[in-house]
Amino acid sequence: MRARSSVSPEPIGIGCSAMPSHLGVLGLVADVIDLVEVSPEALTRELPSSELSMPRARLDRDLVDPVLAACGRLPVISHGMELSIGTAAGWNHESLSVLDDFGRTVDYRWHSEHIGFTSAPDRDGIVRGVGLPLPLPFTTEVADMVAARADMVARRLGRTFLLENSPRYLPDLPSDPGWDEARFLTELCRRSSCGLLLDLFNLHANCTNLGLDPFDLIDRIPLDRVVEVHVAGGAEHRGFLVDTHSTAVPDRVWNLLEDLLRRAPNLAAVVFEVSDDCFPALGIDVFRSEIEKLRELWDHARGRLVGVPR
Amino acid sequence: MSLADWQSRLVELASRGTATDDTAAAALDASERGWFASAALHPGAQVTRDVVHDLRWRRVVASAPLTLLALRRCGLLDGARTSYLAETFTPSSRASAEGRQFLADVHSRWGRVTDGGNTPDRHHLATIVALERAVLAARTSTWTTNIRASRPDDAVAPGIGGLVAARCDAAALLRRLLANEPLPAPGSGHGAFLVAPGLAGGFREASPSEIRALTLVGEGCPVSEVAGLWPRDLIDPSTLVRLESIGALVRQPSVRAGRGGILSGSPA
Repeated sequence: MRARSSVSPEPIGIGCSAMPSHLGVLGLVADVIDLVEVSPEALTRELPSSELSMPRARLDRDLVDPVLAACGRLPVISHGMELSIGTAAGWNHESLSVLDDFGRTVDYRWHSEHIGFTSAPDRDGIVRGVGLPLPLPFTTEVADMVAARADMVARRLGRTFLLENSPRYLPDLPSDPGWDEARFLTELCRRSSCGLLLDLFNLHANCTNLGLDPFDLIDRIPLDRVVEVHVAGGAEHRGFLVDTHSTAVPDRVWNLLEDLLRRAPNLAAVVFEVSDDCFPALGIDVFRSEIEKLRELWDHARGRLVGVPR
Repeated sequence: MSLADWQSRLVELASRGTATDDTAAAALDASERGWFASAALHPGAQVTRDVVHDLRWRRVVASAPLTLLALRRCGLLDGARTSYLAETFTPSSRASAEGRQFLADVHSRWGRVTDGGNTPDRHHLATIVALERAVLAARTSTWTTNIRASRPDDAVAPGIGGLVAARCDAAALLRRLLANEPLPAPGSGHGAFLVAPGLAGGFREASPSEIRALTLVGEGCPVSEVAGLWPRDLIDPSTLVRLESIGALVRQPSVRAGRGGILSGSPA
């Protein structure tokens, strides 16, 4: 099967997540960044819901407007947590409604979601959530389901849709013979028009925790489909490297980024992720120095690729 | 086993550490049972559970900080955290949803001052839980479902329309809440908190003009006629329009308007 064609967005550059509790930070790095990544779900208010359904939410302009004001003229890209694209019983329709509203409010460039599932109904049909993406089996069945849904999202939003590799701490997920994460990502790209958001910390953590080689994985995924990259820092817990978005980017992740910047021809953005509630401990000095390092790597790579300065 | 069954069991493993549904277990073949048995023993399962619980608790911390302080004062914090995370699933990755569920859980366990223990501390806890529930209700626009009678032993009565009645001096209550000091006795005064979308911190003591405006709207006065009473830096048309609709509700026999714009009653 040939890989499906995918629209490649114009390169934008580097940026960071919008932290709703620390919007002033954007002004402190506005001279170094090219874009802001916004999570629409963080800008919603809930509506009453029944016990059998996930809480309903709608975009709230009182929350959206300050974020857009802080972004100024910087391009916005969108990143979600709630879609649960891999839930076999059905994804979170409310999340899509929020994205519809967001698209009517903000001219964002593309939207991304984690590969995984954040909730599943029990045998009584009551939805039970965990609040972060759990891993999916690496199988044809799952690839078919997620790929079809990815195309549906892209059509509905009218924008490029990216799927992001998620962290996982359990080994030996159920898989079809010969399938692993690299094969699974490849098959998603073969089956859909989606692009990839490669989270290099997740990749680094998974490989560290599970004894895998990150460069081997990168070698085996379709790098021409990588549109966005996340870099972040994590923490050690019980001997595992955990994705916390709480610290500076480790050297190993910077090394992976340098490699990828040379090899991903359609890479359009790199985003430094910090959790809203972890920012105070990280501090603006470290935050800005990480952004500046990202700026330097991006400019260096772009200069080498296209021969023009930023 | 279907993918849906596998996911349901993994959610249980990631939240509670075990996949205990015997009905689902019977649907597994030997290799599937083996995978879950192996996964449950792998340290990565505990890490997954820790990450899930840490994320959820950070959302609780973000949305119910005063209640956590009060639980610590009562010596109940560790137990509240453990039982809440072990016995519930997250309703959403939104902090407000997690916070509302947590506060409901705390209210069901320790929300009544007659539950025993150190009475001043329990009274403190019950009051703070009521206040933070009202704050989250106002923030998430679910207040229309929260019309219910207050109890006579509460120092703070849940209201609707963005106001919470205090049966004591509201300013003193606010100071003591923030300082984690014993509360003024119920019935020692009267006051009202304004709990409204857009308020920094979610709530503060309501001003006389706000109480006056909300009272008039609650009694059926058109919003346009009370707009002048509403402080210019707090103009929130959506709040006023909602209050206008409450006015119609209040005029129903089952719901009555109280003093200072506090509306209480039972669902029609």
